[in-house]
Amino acid sequence: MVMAYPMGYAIWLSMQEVSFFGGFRTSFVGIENYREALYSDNFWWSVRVTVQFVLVSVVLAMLIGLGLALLMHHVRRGRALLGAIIILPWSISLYGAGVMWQYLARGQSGVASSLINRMLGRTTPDTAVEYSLISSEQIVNLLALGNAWNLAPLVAFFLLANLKTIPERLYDLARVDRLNVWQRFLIVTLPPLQYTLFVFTTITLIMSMKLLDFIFVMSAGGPGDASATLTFRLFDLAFRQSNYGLSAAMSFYLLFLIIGSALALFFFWGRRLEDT
Amino acid sequence: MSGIEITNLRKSFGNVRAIKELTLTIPNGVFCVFLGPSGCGKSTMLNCVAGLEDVTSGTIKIGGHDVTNLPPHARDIAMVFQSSLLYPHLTALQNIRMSLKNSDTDAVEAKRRIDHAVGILEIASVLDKKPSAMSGGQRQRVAMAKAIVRNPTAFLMDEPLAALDAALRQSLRLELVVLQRQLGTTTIFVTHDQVEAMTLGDLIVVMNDGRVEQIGTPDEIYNNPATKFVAGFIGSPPMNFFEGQVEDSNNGPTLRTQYGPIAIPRHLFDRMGGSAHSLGVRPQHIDINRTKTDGSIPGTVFAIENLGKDSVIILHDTAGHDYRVLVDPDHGYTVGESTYMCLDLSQAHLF
Ligand SMILES: Nc1ncnc2c1ncn2[C@@H]1O[C@H](COP(=O)(O)OP(=O)(O)O)[C@@H](O)[C@H]1O
Ligand SMILES: [Mg+2]
Repeated sequence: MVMAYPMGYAIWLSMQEVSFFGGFRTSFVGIENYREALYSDNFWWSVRVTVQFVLVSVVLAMLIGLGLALLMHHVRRGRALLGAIIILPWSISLYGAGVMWQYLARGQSGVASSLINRMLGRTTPDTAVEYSLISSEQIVNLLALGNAWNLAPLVAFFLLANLKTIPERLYDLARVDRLNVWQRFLIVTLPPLQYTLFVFTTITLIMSMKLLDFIFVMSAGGPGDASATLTFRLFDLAFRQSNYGLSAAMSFYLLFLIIGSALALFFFWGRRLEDT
Repeated sequence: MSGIEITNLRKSFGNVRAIKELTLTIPNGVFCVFLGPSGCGKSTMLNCVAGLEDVTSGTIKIGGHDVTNLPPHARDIAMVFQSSLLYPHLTALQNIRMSLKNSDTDAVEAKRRIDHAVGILEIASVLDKKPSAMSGGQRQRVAMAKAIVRNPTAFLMDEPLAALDAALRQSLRLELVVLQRQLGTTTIFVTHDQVEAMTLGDLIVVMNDGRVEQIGTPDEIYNNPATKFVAGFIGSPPMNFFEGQVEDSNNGPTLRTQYGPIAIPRHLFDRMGGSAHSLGVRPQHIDINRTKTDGSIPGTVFAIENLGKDSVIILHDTAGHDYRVLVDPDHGYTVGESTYMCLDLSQAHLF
């Protein structure tokens, strides 16, 4: 029931044309909203942005998570402090992170501008040049990096737990066999991490597709609609343009995208892990 | 050509002196077993020989070459780790191949060696299996195959049979000895199991607390233990010790114990002099009686272990000290009975 009522309402809504003028009225339009979405350039642009955002987020979250896990595993001294520093970005709220990232990346007074200007000796206001990390080309990648940075610590701690189960002696065996760093990583280190990597790829994929607040705080879908992911688009449609029907229809396309990619992940990757 | 020469080897981890001093020459082709309680430095010694740990000081030669500062793969050794460790996510064949993957061996030669190893170890049927799908014995054979395809000057084995059950261990021990004879490769085998050491070794090195206690053949170690530690560690059930003061009087040498004097054979006393304070007697050299005789030592039956062919009677003296006596299974004693031990000192030891 808890699921069914909002689901049902959303399905109903996605088939309505809602208007507010002269009182709240709805009229049944069938699959019109779904058709409209498919013919909308904005919709396809948002799909593209979402796919890019999610791909970069997931890859970066896994790479950063793996990197942090290996770092924590190999550091001998100050392990507790390192752990605390690493868990920090995860424990601050996404909203806080959004504000912080925006500050770091901002043009006029952001960190990038100050650093580059300082290095080039431009210290007066009329010589300083703005270097904004928030440009339309890079905005999606930058958002994905911020998102990955927030997700990575959790991934790192689970991977670290896996790393601790690897017998030390396997590394000795690898030395006697003269395996190089890459072979050792593939043969000794990576296999026990596979299951965790699969689970977190799925989780970060779904979380990234659904992400709204971070994008809202950081870029509000902009510049222009350069970073308007599907979640942002349907939020915008519903609460700014009051186009509830189209928004609800798009939300179902998002749902299909989430379910479809999670199933694909399982089919091509997760399913094969069971027999190892 | 000598097999392995270790000279003045020392190894410390910070303040822990894991190996205090070790000098030893293992002749070519010899099966040498390092035996000692856990924590005595056996693995550390083996890691130093393998190049997995840097030595603190000393030199190591393998096949006449000084390898002290060489990395493991350049030492011409093959290693078998505790519980026959293999890469868990590779099949048996992939595991074996890994030994030669980054060596200079060409593909034809590699295949020849692998086929040969698979043949003598009879593991053709498990080549596609991963370690988790193999039995302990199969894993051990695959680990051996992985070692012998390297054609090394020396095998180094760190308790490879430790995790197996007793029956399997026994049969694999025999296989290992036969294989080593066949290949004639110098071998260091580390174990804390004295039965394993006695059955495997041409040469046994007994270690304790980072030092060598004794080096010798199994016979020498058993019959002429150099120290009280060796005497107590080798043999099952273990040797009994009677503590006291050794004195030489007009009636011949004696050990003054809390139960009165025990007369000691002259040849024993001459070997050890007056500094000894402990008389060691193996369980099969003690008789027990219900009646007191001259020089017998009282003890109460505390427990009886039936080994099938023999029984071990464990006696307590008044101080609660244990003594083990080997008797026929039809001994007829019961727990709690008071008895007297008669010692046969012809093969006893003074420490
Ligand atoms: N990497 C290490 N760091 C610190 N101490 C160690 C290390 N390896 C072994 N030791 C210490 O050295 C001693 C000998 O250990 P080890 O060689 O493993 O004994 P064994 O194999 O005979 O059981 C032990 O006291 C152990 O705690
Ligand atoms: Mg050990």
